[in-house]
Amino acid sequence: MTAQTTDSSAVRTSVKVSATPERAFEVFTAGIDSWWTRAHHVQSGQLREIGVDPHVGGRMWETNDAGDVCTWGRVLTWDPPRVFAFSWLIGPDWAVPGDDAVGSRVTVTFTPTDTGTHVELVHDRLDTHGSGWEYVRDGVGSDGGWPAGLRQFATATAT
Amino acid sequence: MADPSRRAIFELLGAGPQSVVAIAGSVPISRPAVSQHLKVLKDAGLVTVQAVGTRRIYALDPAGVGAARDYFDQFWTTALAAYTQTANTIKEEQ
Repeated sequence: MTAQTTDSSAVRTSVKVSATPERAFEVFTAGIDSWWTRAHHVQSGQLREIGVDPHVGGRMWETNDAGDVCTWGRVLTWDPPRVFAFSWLIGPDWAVPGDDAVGSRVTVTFTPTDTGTHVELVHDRLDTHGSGWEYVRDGVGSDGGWPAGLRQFATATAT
Repeated sequence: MADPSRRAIFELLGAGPQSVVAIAGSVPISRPAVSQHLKVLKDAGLVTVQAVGTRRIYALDPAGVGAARDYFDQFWTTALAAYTQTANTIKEEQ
């Protein structure tokens, strides 16, 4: 595979946390329901829980308030406390992905630092989803959409 | 995009618009095969084509790929902010 730095179908972002890599990995995976925005889900109704099956091939799953379960990704790399990667099967129609869904890829790496952990996230192969994301972006990018929900969640977890 | 040749063409176009001839000179597959991959990419809304004289110039379609990138850039930046808050809070409780 060629270098990702020039791949125009990838995004990368990183944060520094004060936790150890072991704890940072655990919060990102086993603790995903503690930080994931409640407004972000693919099924109808309210998001009840979001989770990760902790092994390669495991599901990235969510349940709604009616008890319906949806698999929206698969674990590609499970190497605690260093690397966690999963496929992202949700297309721009933001519908429950079918069994034949082709996904993009999210890779999260945890690197120890003097003060904690550097967490880098790369979401690449975005071109697998095809066109149509302009509608998603325009629909949720404004205040009141998901970003607002995420801000509220960040505030709530900080208190 | 499972086909490695198609991905190579796509990533090549990430560096800038190219003619079919130039693309075929950069990947180890035949020119008809390159054209077929470009057709698939165009049908998916990922590349655009423009005729310049007798040449056909292909480029990434910013409406297709750029929108997804913009969307996820914002999405993950905000999501990781929430993750950071949680990870740091748990650290403090230890």
